[in-house]
Amino acid sequence: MNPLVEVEGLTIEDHAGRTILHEVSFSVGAGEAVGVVGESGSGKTTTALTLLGWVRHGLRVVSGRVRVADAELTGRPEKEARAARGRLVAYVPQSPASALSPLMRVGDQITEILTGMTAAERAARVAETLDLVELPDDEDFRRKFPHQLSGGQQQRLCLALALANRPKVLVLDEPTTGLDVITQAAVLAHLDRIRRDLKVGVILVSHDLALVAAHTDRVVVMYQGRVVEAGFSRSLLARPSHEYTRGLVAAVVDHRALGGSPARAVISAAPDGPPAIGPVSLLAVKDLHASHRTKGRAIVAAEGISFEIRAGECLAIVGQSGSGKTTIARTVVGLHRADHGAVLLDGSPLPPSATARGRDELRRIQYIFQDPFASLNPRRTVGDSIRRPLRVLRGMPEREARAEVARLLERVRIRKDIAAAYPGELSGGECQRVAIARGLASSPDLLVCDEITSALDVSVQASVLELINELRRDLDLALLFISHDLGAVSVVADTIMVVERGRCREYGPAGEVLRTPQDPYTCRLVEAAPSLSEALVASTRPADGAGVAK
Amino acid sequence: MKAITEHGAGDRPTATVLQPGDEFARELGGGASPARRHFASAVPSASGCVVLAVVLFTQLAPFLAPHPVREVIGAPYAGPGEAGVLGTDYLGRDLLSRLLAGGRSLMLLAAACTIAAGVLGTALGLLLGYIRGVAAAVLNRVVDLFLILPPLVVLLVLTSGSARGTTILIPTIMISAAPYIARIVRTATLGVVRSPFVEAAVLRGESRRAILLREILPNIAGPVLAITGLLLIYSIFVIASAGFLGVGTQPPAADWALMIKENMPGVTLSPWPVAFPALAIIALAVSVNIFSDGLHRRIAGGRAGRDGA
Repeated sequence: MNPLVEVEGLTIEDHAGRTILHEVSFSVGAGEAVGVVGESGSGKTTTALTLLGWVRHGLRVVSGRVRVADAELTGRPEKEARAARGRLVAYVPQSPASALSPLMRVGDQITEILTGMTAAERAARVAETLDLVELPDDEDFRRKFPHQLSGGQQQRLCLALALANRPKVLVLDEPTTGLDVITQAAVLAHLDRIRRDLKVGVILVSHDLALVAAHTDRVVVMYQGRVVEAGFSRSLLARPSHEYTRGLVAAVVDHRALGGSPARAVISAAPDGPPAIGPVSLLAVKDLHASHRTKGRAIVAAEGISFEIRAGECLAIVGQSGSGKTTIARTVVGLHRADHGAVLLDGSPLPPSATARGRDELRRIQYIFQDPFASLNPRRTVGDSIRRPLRVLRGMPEREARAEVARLLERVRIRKDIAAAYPGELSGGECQRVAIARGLASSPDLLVCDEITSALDVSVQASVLELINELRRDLDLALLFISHDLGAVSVVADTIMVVERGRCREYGPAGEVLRTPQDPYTCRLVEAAPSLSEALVASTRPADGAGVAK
Repeated sequence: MKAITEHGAGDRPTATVLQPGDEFARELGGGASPARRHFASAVPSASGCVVLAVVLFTQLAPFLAPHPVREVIGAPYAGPGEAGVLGTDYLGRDLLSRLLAGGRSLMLLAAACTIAAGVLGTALGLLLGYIRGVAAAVLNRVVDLFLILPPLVVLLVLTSGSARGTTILIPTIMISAAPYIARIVRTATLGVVRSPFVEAAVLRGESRRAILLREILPNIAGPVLAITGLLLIYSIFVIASAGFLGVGTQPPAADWALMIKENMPGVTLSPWPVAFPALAIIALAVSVNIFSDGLHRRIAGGRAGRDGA
């Protein structure tokens, strides 16, 4: 019998004749999960979409074939390919919020895609499908709109939509990128169970190796449109043979493997070596209360948060999305006004709003944003963007500033000639380095980093973290590092504060918090965070979530 | 939370991003054959040439015109070729000479009105989009009040005294058009003002002026340019209307709108003295529109890549 999915020698070109995919081949059996990993631009999404008989506009299939359950999908007219979608293959997109129609109720979303059934059959199938993804199937829930669901429920609803017609194959494209770790673990545990119960083949596209190791049987590693390595997930990721895969695995920062992770060797670690942490408190936050007001309702973002950062110290604030960690950071820099509490720099209170702060106060605290593209003015050259703080905050003359820009670009390890480029011409990693260079331009004492790696590729993340550690060592910089990624935090942080719904749950030295968490919430967070080393060790255990979900 | 994919921004079928520059080509040519695409991209350039030609010919009117504008060269309402190249008007004056000269004042006045109203409206819009609180709310409502004033009513009110002619047109257009521009610019500003790069500017203590002019204005250049084109057409329309109503340019000066008005009584004798200036106004308006649209797309999809606007 043929495997459920067979991709053979698939080659795809764009309209200019550039090869997007080159001779890609792999197969998926019934009930099997195959991970497709690679960095952005490696062609993993293009590959996944061909399984739906879909090729993005401007691309064309040059050779090769895709067969799902013995049905040929390439070279078929769109109408026939469409018939296969939903029944043979179904797709779960990356961002559930934008995949669901905002004006349709939950029940209608599912009913809409069921065709050729009587009303009673449809109602039964809706209930059955909701049950399958463990969503409530009562009338109340079916009448809800997508915006009334949580992120995890939305993604489960997307999964339900995909499963409604009982397809043989599920294609999931970065299904949990937008979810926090605890929700992610729950959704993936569902997926594993559904896969075993319904015997569907699963293709999981992801950049997260830990997730792939824990939830797939086999893995296909893609690089520049080629399959560079394929094999059983855990053994391949434990002993990668191709150079690219080795680099990818080495770049994974793992909070479980403190001291032992391969990434430790790459990222010259900070916490136990220099930089020397001074005894004096640089920044102190005392009993901070902050909230967001929308339409008269106040949403609490920080409640009685207090912490202290000494010169050269790195404090990481960790929490799920919506926990208030970004608001705390924005209050520190003066972009958000606190309801109550004080921010002290060197013992003297800072004005709550950045516009009221003096030049030197602004100079000493710099903020680096999550989205590297949006944080640089797209209409100004990179050099211009870095030069500005030199001129405004340090009053440097134009000529001197130009020389300083070159020095700063070298400092963050990118080519000097990039100064003449516009942000749109750079990659995400380069943009983030430029943003860091701009932050360093004013020679600050404290750098506030808000999720600076979450928009970047795994391999780029590692190099940015390495840069951060190098800067700390050389410049004696204190950091307030906001992140949901325990792996990244474990590499840079001296101290960790865990926040949940604006409240501090645990605050202590990084090693203690990650190794022996005291608070039950911290335990759950550490437990749920995907860990490559853990997933590889867990290979002997049964495959249900492989230690990620309990 | 938005994840940035570094290269394959349009990986998913729903996210097939159309380059702003392609849009026009697609509208006209369906994006299919290279020849049609080429034709589509040539249209804005061609209209640019029309605008340029109109500007050149009208500004060089004193050198190009075969006759002085007030000289009678033949019988009234002579057809094209009978007297002069394009015939004569109701007094027997050369139509071509008057047509060339008549565009001159219109172009200059329209440009002046556009600049005055454009600068006022853009500045107001930037400010309205940036400031917060009570002042912003009050100022917004005041601007909204001005939106209800029809331009011709403003014009007639302003001319109710002894004021006549061109000087009254600039304030008229400023009062009637600037609120619209302010609204559009304000909306565009609101879309940019929360961007991290603007916050970064706040955090380095930039002045409000520097933030508005350096950070925000370049990122809303697309819409600003697009409305500037519309504003130019609007100015031409108001100036022409004023001329036709007799409160704009005064005879015996040559002016397109005035020419239409003064030759109307004889339109059954000869349609040309009305048709030529009317066609000139239409050609100018349409070309300006297409050209400014093309310019907007060029800038939006240009080198600076990601369109912030």
